[in-house]
Amino acid sequence: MSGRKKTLLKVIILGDSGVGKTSLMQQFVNNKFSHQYKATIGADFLTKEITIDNNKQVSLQIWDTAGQERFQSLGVAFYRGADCCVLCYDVTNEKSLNNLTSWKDEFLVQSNVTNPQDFPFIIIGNKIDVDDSKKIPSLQKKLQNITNNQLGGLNYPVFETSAKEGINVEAAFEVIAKMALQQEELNDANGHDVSDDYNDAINIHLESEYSGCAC
Amino acid sequence: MGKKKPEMSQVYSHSKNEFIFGENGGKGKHLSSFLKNLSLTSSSSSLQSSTNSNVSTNDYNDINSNIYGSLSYGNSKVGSTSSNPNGIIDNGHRIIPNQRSLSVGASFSHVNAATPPPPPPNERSNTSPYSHTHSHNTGSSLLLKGPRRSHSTTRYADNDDDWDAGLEEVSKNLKIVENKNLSRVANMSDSINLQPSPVLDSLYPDLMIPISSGSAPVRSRSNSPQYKGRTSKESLDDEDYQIKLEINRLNQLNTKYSKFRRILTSDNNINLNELRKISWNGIPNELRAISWQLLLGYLPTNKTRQSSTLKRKRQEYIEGIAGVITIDFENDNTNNNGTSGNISSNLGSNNSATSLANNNRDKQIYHQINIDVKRTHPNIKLYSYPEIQTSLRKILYLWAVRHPASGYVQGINDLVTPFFQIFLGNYLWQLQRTVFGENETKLEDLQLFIPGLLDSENKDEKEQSLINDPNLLHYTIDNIDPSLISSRVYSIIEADTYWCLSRLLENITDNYIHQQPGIIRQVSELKNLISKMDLELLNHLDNEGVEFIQFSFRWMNCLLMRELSVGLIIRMWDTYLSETPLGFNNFHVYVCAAFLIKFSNDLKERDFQEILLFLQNPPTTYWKEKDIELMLSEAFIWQSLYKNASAHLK
Repeated sequence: MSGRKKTLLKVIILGDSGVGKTSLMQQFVNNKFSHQYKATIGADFLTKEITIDNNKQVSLQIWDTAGQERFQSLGVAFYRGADCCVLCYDVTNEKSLNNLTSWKDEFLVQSNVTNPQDFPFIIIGNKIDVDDSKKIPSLQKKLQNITNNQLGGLNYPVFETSAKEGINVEAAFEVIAKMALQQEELNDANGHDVSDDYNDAINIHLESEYSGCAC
Repeated sequence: MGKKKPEMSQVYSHSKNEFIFGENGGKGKHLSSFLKNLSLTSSSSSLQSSTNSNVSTNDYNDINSNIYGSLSYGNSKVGSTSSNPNGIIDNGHRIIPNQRSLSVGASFSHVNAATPPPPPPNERSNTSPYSHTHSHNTGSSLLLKGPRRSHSTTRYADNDDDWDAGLEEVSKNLKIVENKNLSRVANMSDSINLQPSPVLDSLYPDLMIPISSGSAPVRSRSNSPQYKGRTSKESLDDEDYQIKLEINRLNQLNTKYSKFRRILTSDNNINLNELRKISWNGIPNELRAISWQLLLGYLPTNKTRQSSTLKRKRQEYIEGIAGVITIDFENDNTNNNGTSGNISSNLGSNNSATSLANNNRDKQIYHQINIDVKRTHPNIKLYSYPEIQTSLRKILYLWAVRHPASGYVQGINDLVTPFFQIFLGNYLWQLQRTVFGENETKLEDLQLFIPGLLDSENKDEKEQSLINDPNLLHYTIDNIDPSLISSRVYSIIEADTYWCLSRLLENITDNYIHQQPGIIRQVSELKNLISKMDLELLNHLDNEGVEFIQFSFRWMNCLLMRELSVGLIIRMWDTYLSETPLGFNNFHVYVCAAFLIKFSNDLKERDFQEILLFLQNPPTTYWKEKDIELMLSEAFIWQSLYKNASAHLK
């Protein structure tokens, strides 16, 4: 990429309905939390410019998807060209943890990424602000089972966050951005854009007057 | 009911004259007796009105041509079906008195007389044209200000002395028939902190007066500063003109209500086609519940069958809820390892394996419904109450288990709300009408009531309390405490909502089954339509890499309920329900096309990200019903153009 072009990184947030995907995105992009988010239908996105590795300016385009299984066939339209995928679960909902593997598989099938073996994923366990009594019993053990499983395990960085209180959200997205940037550079180096013209179309230029989200 | 105030009936006892400006318009004897009865005798207005009643055809034409000319959208439907009985002209504005005070008086009393039951002042005022005009009948000159306030312009700014004088005279007269009850109401409306309804300006006023044409003479003049206080001949003419428009508007409004009333009460068998025709252009709030139920085919058109059918359907619903699966619907606990509520199966004894599978699936469904109900219309207070959330959970859950091919899909929780709140509002209206309505029309009223909603045996204690509640007249869905309503009523409203929702969803089953093929088809139809309607826009979206599914999936899945306020959606459904086949499927795509094209210019200046961000949050916050009506009319035109012509273009 030329120095004048700002790198645009596409990040997809996946996970069961109600784990807090919208809240995570809103907390990261707008530093706010609300009880008033409606269920996401289809997918929404927001963008945020951040600096990583001290001097590298990137623009994160964060796609917040619908959690209900029925909408999974939509993935093709939204996952394409992704540079990083965030798998979310709710620390009070064991099923959402168990579903992480199928979310990952579904993503790989539909996004058609070139390097499924080492495509960057990251895991976020949200809602750590709630009472311990409500959390999944022996969560760490169960989490390890899922991440350390030799065959097809989700051996990815894990962050525990609270979108409500803004705990760890920033840190998680910084790692997300770094991983996404690596993936983007890998794709560049390999000379094949994940989805040719589509990816170009969403690159924005430094000199453009675009200034953040309109909402 | 014992609470009925006799004085009140004086004011409202003339709804039988509702056609006075309608089909029989111009019959002076109606008008004069009518005014006399209203004690408007201090001026000679009643006499004059009868002599002036056949006012110059010129004036009449003037007004209508003006209205026509500036109301392109109002015409589209009318024009395309030339015999449309809802036309703007045919409603007889044959009485256009020349005297200012008289004309105001005429329209004023007219509105009062034909106003249906007094919905509470203020609270529903922005949703109901009827209640709107009525709400100011305690003698303030607000009558004519009220509707105007809802317009975005000040073209009718009431800054002319003459105008006020006329009104004062009338209001003085009207005070004669004012009564304690009404004053009490007025006072209460001041003391009670009523939340402004989030919805709309009134239904019809905007349809009747020039809106969009900035060149309308009235508008430009009254906007100019020097207009204030002018007494020249010109400005008098101008006032006349304004007054005529106002009368016109009020007549329209009343005629509309009368027509609905006539259709709903005239025959033993309600003429559904007539109802469809008139409903297309919007249904009065008070009559919406019954009209919707008729249009959906839930309430039979044959009146002898209505009570029994509803009774049976409601019983079916209750049995359905009590039946296969027992859920503690009042328990909204979500932190139960991904499931919520206490769910237990009554199937267990037969086939434990099946029931276990069902149980798991049902648990999932219930969990999904539960978390979605909590975030349904999070900004509307009504939906934050546990009673209401329980009702929604029941309706959605029963629908989901009865329709295993789709189950519950997110977005259906949005679709359930218009029915629920319209039916709940209707219950309150029925109570208000029963308590405060006039004797003469009680029998006829019954035909406007959805059967069985009110407790005929007076056993419903909560209903009795509501009847005796001094605030009854003020209650709307925006301020009612849902715990004041009995479970008997909730189960009826739930049942009606359930069946109406089922009818609606029958039309779009494909939207919610696996892979959602209905939505995929609609999205591609939308793209196809845009290629014909606005190729430039299509090309721009293509060039930016925007795919239609990225922004319009939600439009189909939630029927634009995420893009437009629920009040506007309700108005939209009046039209959808009047289309044959119902407009939720094919017609909706045309509406989406009209919706997208509204923003064509905005979109063409934006790049990929900006386009999607824009469409994620389209600027409809200040949309009024007139915007919706314009959009619907445009959609109608597109549909007439392309409906039968799209096949060979694919």
